[in-house]
Amino acid sequence: MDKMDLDGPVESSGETTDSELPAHYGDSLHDISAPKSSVNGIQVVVATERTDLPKYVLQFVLEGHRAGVTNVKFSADGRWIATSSADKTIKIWHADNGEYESTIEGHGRGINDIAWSPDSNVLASASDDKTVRIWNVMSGRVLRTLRGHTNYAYSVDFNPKGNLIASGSFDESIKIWDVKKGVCLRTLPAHSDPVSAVHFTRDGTMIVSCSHDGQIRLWDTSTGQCLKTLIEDSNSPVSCVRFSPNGKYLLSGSLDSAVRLWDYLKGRCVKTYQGHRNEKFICVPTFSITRGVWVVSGSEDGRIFFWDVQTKEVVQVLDGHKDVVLAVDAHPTKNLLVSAGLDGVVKIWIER
Amino acid sequence: MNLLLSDPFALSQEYPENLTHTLNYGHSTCIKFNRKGDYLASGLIDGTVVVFDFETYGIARVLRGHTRSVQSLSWSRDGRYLLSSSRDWKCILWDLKDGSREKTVRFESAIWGAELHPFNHQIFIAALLDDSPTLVDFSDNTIRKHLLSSAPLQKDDEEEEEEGFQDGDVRERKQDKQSTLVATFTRSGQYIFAGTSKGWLNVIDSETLQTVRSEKLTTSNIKHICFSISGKQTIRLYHTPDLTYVDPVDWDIDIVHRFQDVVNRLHSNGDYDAHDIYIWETTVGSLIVDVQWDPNRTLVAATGLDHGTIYVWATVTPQRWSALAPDFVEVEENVEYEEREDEFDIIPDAVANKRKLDQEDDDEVDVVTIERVRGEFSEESFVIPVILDEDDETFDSSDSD
Repeated sequence: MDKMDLDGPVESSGETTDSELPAHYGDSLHDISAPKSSVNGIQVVVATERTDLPKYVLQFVLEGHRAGVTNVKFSADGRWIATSSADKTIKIWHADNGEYESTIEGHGRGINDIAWSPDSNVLASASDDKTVRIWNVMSGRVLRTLRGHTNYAYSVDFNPKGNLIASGSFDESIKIWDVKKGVCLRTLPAHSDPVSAVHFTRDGTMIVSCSHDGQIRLWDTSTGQCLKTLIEDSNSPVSCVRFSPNGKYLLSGSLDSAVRLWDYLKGRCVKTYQGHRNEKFICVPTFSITRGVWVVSGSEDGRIFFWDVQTKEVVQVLDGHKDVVLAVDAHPTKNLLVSAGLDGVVKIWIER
Repeated sequence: MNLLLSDPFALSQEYPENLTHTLNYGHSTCIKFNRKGDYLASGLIDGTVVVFDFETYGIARVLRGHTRSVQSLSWSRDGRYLLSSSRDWKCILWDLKDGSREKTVRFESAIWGAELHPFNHQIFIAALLDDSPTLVDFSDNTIRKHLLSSAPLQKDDEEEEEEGFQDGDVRERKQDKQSTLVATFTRSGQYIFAGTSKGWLNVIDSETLQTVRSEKLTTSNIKHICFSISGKQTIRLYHTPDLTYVDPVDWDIDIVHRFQDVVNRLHSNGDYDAHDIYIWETTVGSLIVDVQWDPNRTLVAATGLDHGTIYVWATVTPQRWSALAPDFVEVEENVEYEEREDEFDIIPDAVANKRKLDQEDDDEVDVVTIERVRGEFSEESFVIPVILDEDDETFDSSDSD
């Protein structure tokens, strides 16, 4: 519940500058079969010639969770940050100054995912207690408890209108719920392995889901039918997937240490971003589009990687977490990034 | 965006054939889709207006205010306001953001129907029973009523013969005694089409409020006027079931088609879509009172007289099974597979991956620009906020197969 307020821009000791790193990593970057080296051994090429690189620095450190933080999200209006944790609570923080606001409690077991409603008044959370709950953010009261999953609820998302919620679960299904009544409208027999993520398009007509069986599937919201399936040759579990801001591409993170950008109309992967390590945990990748167009993801060595969407180069690496960085999120309008991980600490980074 | 991935041949199926949903909330007399087609407003016989959300088939708003049965409903262009008129002689403009009453207008007589101006939610036209049709304008926070004439415009060369009159009697012209039963705005809002009880169609300019043109179409009442999306054709429904499809081109109002419902000479309501008009017969012995097409999907909602339940018909597209595997494509006939030269080459993983990654460098990706998809409704449409804290009424919505 405390936070360490660091005055002004803080030069975090971990911010990797360009000069330190060995110059050429060349083949190993493409060599997936090479044995993964230890944390200190991973060498990364950071593009040095460009002038428009992101320069994020640590601004605030938010502490208070008693166990690992599983997910962190900015609200749609950009005023709040919500963090969910394995300590069964959700904490709300101010986005501009990192101040703690409130704690929401009520789940019986650790929480895996949270999602803000489009009007930023309501929060949905998916938990290991097999329920999805809808909370009023200001009062902290639970408004609806959505029961129906038969195993851990792993992921949740609101549709852009705010009247539907999609949730993915370890019971291999996706359920679409009516927010107002709190009942399940449809159950999609989505995958043959636990569903690790669900996400709506910006017009709410499609849902994308991914699973440990390596498949990414697109569903039609109104009929519940599968529209497309994408799979990578290596069949490695896909830990997270989401739509690009314009809804034409998919960004997926998979457990072979690669973040991929898919064009689902063509049905193939168009970009692969590598350099980080992701083999066991779900590290949520995201887009940052407020200044440059970057792909950001956490890594199991405690670092945060920025890639350029077009050139696939690593453009910045942030250091500071002591353990796996599980989630990152970018502010909708300002150059802010928030990251959180297994060490229970949430960090806000800013680029001025 | 799901249109990009859907099967185009399945989408081209034109008519809804399956009864997919039944909505039961009170006894509904009148239904209307909003412009985008995602909300349906339903007026009940006890005066309540209910707005259904057609993504969840649940209730979005319950609006209470009328004390008698609802006569007509009209949506504003952006979908935020709803005008309802009722047999309690009142018209209420509802703000759907929170379900409050934006404006209430009382009339001196019963109302046949009221319709909002297509672009300005503060102007509406009401057709009254004992009074002249009234244009109500409440911009500037004042309610101003303008009475419009029901009398058709006299042309010099027209002959109106009275049946006969004796000397000394006041010559009573038949058209003085007609009343306007239905009035609606054209799609641009520039003119008002008013239909009278004697079969005249009056075209009134909505700015000057003068009748600019009149045409006698039939001898019976004009009960209903409805415009097509393009605004060029109208369909009019008369008392003796006689539908007319008229094409006003350059203000020559020509009667293009006449339809006669010979079998069922009862009150029925037709709705206009494409080039076909469907006259809905009774289903279970009860009359169909109101039929509405969803403006953007192939979906029809209809409400019956006896039960007041709303039936929804839609097209059901079967699951395309090729979507479940990444490489599968549905083909019409067998295709002879021709293998590539290097189909069975053994390439070490490292080289194969490198090759794949190098190929990626050529692609330009744009993740930010939003493109409009053809066939999708792209105008800004008001989203009714979901209010979760209030008490929910018991409501029965069931899926039909």
